[in-house]
Order: sequence, then C-alpha cells, then structure tokens
Amino acid sequence: MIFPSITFLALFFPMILLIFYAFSFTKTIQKIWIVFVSCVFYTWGQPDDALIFFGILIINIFLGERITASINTNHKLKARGYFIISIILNVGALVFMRYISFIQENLNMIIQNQAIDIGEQTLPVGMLFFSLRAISFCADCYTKKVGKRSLIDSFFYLSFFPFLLAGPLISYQDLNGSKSELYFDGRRFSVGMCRFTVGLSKKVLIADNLAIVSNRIFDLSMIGDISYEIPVLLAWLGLIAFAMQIYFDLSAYSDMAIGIALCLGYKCPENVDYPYLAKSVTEFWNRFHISLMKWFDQYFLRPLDRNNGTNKDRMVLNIFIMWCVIGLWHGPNWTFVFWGIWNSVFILLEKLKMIHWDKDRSIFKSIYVCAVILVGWVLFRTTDLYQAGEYFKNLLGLNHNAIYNDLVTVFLKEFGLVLVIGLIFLFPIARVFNNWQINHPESLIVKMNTIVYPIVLIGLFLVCTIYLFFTNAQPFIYLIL
Amino acid sequence: MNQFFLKKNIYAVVLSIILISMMIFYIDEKSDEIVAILNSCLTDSDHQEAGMVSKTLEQEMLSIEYYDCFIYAYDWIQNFLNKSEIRDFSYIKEKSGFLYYGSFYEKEDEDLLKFSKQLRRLKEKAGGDTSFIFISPPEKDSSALVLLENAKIISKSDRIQDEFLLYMQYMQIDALDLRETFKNSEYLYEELYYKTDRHWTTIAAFESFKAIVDKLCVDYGESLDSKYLDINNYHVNQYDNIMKGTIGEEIGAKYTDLDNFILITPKFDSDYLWEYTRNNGTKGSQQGPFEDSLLMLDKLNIKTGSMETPYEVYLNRINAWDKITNRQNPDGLKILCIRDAYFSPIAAFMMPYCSELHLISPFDSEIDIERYIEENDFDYVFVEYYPGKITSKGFPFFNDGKEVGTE
Repeated sequence: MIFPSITFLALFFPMILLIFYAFSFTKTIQKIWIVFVSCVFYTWGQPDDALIFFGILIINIFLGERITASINTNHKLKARGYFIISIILNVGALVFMRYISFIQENLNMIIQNQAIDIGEQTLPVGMLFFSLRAISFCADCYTKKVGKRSLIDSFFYLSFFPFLLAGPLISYQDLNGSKSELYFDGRRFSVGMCRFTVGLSKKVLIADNLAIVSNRIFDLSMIGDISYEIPVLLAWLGLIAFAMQIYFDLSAYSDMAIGIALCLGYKCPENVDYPYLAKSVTEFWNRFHISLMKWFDQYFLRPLDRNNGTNKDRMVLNIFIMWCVIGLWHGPNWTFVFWGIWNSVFILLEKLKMIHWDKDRSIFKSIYVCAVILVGWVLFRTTDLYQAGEYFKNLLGLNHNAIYNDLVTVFLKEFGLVLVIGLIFLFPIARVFNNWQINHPESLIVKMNTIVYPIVLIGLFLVCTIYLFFTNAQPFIYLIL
Repeated sequence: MNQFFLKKNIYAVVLSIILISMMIFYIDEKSDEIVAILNSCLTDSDHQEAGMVSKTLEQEMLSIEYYDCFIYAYDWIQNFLNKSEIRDFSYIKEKSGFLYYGSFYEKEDEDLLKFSKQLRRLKEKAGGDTSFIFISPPEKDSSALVLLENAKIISKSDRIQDEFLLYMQYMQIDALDLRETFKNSEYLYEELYYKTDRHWTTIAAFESFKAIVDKLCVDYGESLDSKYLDINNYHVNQYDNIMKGTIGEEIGAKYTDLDNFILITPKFDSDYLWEYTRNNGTKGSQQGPFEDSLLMLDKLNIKTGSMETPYEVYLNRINAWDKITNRQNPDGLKILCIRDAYFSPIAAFMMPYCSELHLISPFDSEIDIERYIEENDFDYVFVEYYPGKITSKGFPFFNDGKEVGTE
C-alpha cells in the first residue's frame, strides 16, 4: 500500500490513529498495534512478497538479539560472527533477488555465450531500504549503540510502517529517542497532519504530473531497441521535468512519512533540504537524500576509512567505491554505476579543492551544480548507456534533430502551470514565510494566515482526494528503482 | 508562537473530522471487499485473491456512491489548470466537451497492403455477379479540431483511411469514402458525433445510408425508390440527455454533459424478421414492423453505471451474426455486410430495399466468411470498417499469404 491512495487515507490512516490513541495509556500496546498495522500495510496489495519479507525481518531480529546477548556476555567473537552473518544475509538476499540477472547478463557477455542461466528473481517491495536499515540495526547492536530492548521494540523499529517502504533511514536510537513523553502531543499531531497534507499535495499535484511529462518524453526518445530523435527543447523539458519530479517525489514521500510519524508522536530528522540551492555537488547530496547519504557515510565509508581521511589516496578510493555502490544500490544497471562515478568525480574534485569558486560567484556555483546534477539525472533516468548517449545528443542538437515541435507546446499548455508551481517550490518560500511569521506574531498577515492556512490545506487535501478517486497515484520513484 | 501553531491546530482538528467521516463512509461502502481480503488472508495459502481484491479496491472507485460529485470537482480542477488530457493522455477532452480516446504513441502500423489483397481475393471469391464495395466511415477524431492537432497524440485515422483507400483503388475494389459525404453534409460535426461516445449519431448513419443508396443507383444502375431517402417519411424523435457513451462511462458519466439521442423510425409500413446470434452464442429473433423487429427500445432507459448505451437501440449495436428478412420485398437486394458497429443503424435503414441483409462481425464471431459467401448468392457484398477497425482481426479470410488471383 502507498500513502497516496484512497484506501490508506480513508481507512488505514484514521483507523491507525484512532486505535493508537485509544491505547495511549500503554506504550507497549501502542507498539504492538503499530507492528500489526505495519504487517497489514506491507501485505496489502503484495501478499506474495510478505512471506519473504517477514522471514528476513524475523531473522534480523533474531541476529540482533544474539549480537546484543553476545556483547553483554563479553563473547565478542560470537557477536562478530552474528554480525557478519547479518551482513551476508542482508547483502546476499539483496544481491540474489536484485542483481542476479545483471551479474548473469554481464558474465555471459564476458564469456560470449549464454552458458550461465540462474533465472530471474524479483525483489520484494521495500527490501532495498529494509536491507540498509537491518544492517545498521545489527551494526548498532554490535557497537552497543542499541542497548537492551524488548522483542516488540525491535519489531517496532524494523517494521515501522511510515519508513518501511522507502525510508527515511533512521537509526533505532533516533526513532526510540524521538517519542514524545506526552500521552497525546497535540503540537506534534497538528504539525504532522499539516506535514502529511503538504507531502500528499507535492506527490499528487506536482510530482505525478511531472512524471507524465518526463516519462512520455524519455519514452519517446527510446521505444524498445529503437532510438528516436526528439527536438532539443523537448529533451530539455523532459530532463527538467525529471529533475523536479525526483525531488518532489522524494520530498513528498519524506513529508508524508515524517508527518505520519509526528502524528504518532515520533519526531524524525529531515530527509530533504532544498538541494537545488546547493553551491557544490557535495552539498547537493548532503541536502538531497540526507538519511541515505548519512547511512552510507556512517556504515560504509567510516568502516572503510580507518585513517580518518588523512591518507588522501585511500580517501579517494573509498569515496569512489562508495559512490559506485550507491549507484548500484539504486539499480542493477551500468547507467547507475556511471551515475555514481559521475557524482564521485565532482565530489572528489571538490574535496581536493580542485574545483574552487570565489565567494561572490554564487550564480556560477549554482549553474555548475545544476549542470552536473542534470547530466547525472540523464544517466539515472535512461534505461541503458546507449539511450543515455542518444539523449545527450538530443539535448545538444547533435542528432540532426529539430529545435522545437508541437509536442513542446502541448506539454507546456497541459503542464505549464505545474512546472511553474514546481519551480517556485524548489525555493524555500514556505520556510522563509514561516520564519517571518515567528518574528512578526502581531502582524495582520499572520492573523489572517490563521484562517487562510487551514482553508488552503483543506482545499489541497480535498483536491488530492479527488485526483486519487479519479486516477491512481504514480508509484514513488524510490519504490520502483 | 502560539499564534503560529493555532492555524495548524485548527487544520488538524478539521482534517481529523474529515478522515473519520471518510473512514465511516468507506467502511460502509466497501465492507464486503474488506471482509473478502481479510478472509482470503486467513484462509488462502497463496493469498492470490487477497492481492487481487485489494488491488481492485485501490483501483476501482466507480461504485462509490458520490462518485459523480468527485467527477464534477475533477472537471473543475482540470479546467482551472487549463488541461485537456485525462489520466496520462488516456483521454482528451476538447473545450466543447467532446471526449476522445488519446493515443500518445503511434501504434505499430498494420499491414494495410496485405489486408487489401485479402479483400481483393474475397471479391474474386464472391464472383462477377456480386458487386463488392468497401465502405469507409470517418472516425470521430479525424475531422475534429482536437487541441493536440498537429502533435503525435492525435490518432492517425486519416492517414490509415487514405492509405487503405489508395490500396482499394490499386486492387480495383470500389470504395465509398464517407468523409466526402460528411464534408458536403448540411449537418454540423456536433450533430454527426456524440460527445461521450466514439460512434456516430443516428443522423450521421442516415446520411451515410443515403450516400450508399445514391452510389448503388449512380454507379450500379439500381433503380431504388427515393421515398425511403426522404427524412420526412420518418419519425425523428429526440431524447434529451439520455445518451452516455462508452468514453463518458469509462471516465465517469458526469464528466461531460450527456448527449441527446435521436431515434429515426419509418412512417411507412414494414414487416421484418431479424434473426441473430449474439457475441456469447445466444440465438434469438424478433419480427414485425420496424420498431418491433429491428429496435431494442429498452436500451433507451439505461441507467448510469452500465456500459450499455442507447446506441444499441438499432440491432443491439453489434452481434456476431445477423440476418434480416424483408417479408414485404422478396425481390429486393440480397446483401452481405462484413462490418463493425457503425453499420447497425444503416442496416436498419437499408431494409426497405433488401429482401435479405446478412451482417457478420469478424471481431465477435468465427464464421467462415469465405464459405458463407460461397454458399449464398449475394447481389452485393459490403465491407464496412472505420479506420480503427482496419486491423488483422477484421480480415480473418484468405489469411494464407497467397497472392491475388489464386482463387
């Protein structure tokens, strides 16, 4: 099930909240209820995946328990053994279910025949994020960051439904430590409701409309094995639409997940922070998928880099490897590997201060970041390197393609308003306005906003509901990677 | 700070009320499906049914009681956003309210030359005594000034029609291009097509019937009584706002205004026998005057939510096989028409000139058309397809790849 669906909005969400707060006198029953709801949330619509998913979940909880027990009884070697098993299990499951076809395809290409045929496997929905969360859980048990806990606590953390399918990746201690002490934290509940509605609107009204533009244009440039030239302006429109779509998609999911968590009394860290305002590629990735980058930094880069960055050769290699892995994590395709390499090159150049800008040249910095990121998105969005090459040619007019055709007008006419709204909300207008309101509490605008704000949000919620009645929401990009 | 959070508190209270109301309403509407999912989860080992029902529950909202209210609201928002595409270009709504199927990508080209060769061989099979005519009605969007006119999103029906008619000429098959009839017609586009359906109106069918009869007289020397061509010899009854076509129904009946439906019935006496085989194999017959034998008047009272339309009044829109006998004119023409749904009203109007009219829809039947023609001695064989139906399914005969002239 996904958040932007009528079933979730009209059945699950209110029911979850009602029963959760009906048991506000006991946190244990509340947690059991959330575990139960998470199981139903996952199973709903994809019951076939549930068995594998819950199997891996239970094994991870068992391993986490064993690691903690071994650490507590000073059996460090045993604990390390369990930890290694947990990594092998999670990475192995991921490799087997997600990358086996990719490995098979490439091996067959190298040995020039079809000798290897292991068959195709499908990855259960949400496994991509779950694997990372499970590894960090076991790692935190091993490093004693996760201390004594009940089985319910472990189940609750690993299956917490708002973050179950596509993050944000939050640590056990961050989640458990963020629970409000109040039975019912009205302020968190209110902020959560608003946050959820904003996320829903971003998804249904902006990201899904942009998805139509980018999907259609990228698909036009490649149908089956045949590449089609598309006009330069259309290619740019498709790329810009995708760049905005992926941001709004991720931002919307994070807003909804964080909003639901807030409604349940849990305050979680931000996952997106206006990345297109970044002045360097490194900053962009620190603002784009914050929890994912933090995870790779904490659980991948740091264990690799034992010299704390003092050995520059080692640092370069580590960052390069990390970005290749991040690329592969996004999908079993060479385009993602090259996307990772592309980003790593600029991050390394910035780290080694080989790309340096004067302070007053912020416009050039923005152009540089946008150019690097947009080139990266072409690699990210295209289905193979050939299509990526053709798309680059289309962008630059090197395919003997036209500058413009009627489709550009069609898309601008049909989606122009959404594109403009999207562009506006790439900037932190809401944040600036909120800060201004806090600093000017007596202003007339603030007083008027007390009435206008709820009306606008109710309007947005109803419009989203209407759209969901009429059309199904497009799947989240990070759910279908 | 309190002022800052007051607005959020107000919103949270209102949204909570909305969510709880939605939950009560949803459980009330969908309780059966929810129980089915839970039952399936508990009893079925493979949970296939649960998956299926929950997916349907997610996707299928048409049965929700106040669905039409949402349609109105959706329409308003679409207008506000100045949008014409609906559901990722699946449908397009013109400013005038006309609905079209959208097709963003061009579909793979059909082998039109092959189809034309098959038609030629069918003509040869029919023999020299049987006249063979391909009737080509225009598709709804071919003459419409659709918003996406010059973009690829518009269907390519005109191009298919032009190309196929060119092949007809090449194969020496006589053809009637009804686009010309419509161009010269006194009727407006809005009178020739429904807003909510892809079919033409009864008026358009009547105009086409006149064009066919005219062709038979001019090109084939038939002396057919012109009184049946005069609309004054017919009752023309308009039923306001009863027609909700298939596109309208798919999107939501209230998304666009309902169409008016015009029923044309003769003032003169008639006595027909209509025998038919439905698409599901059911056989049946009706007989008597025009209204009793060729019409299904109960289709004028179809309620919203059904995929049936009043277009089915004439000969049930489409059957696998039909045979209509004119008991008042045993010496009339004996005609076979291999056809799609566009031909049904024409067939009804053609009957005064016919002794027998046979109709076969290759899309809905597996009748051996080659044998059927061989076993019957027809004066005319018509093949009538609108461009969207010029596909391999419409040409199940002489599908062996042999060249023309082998019959």
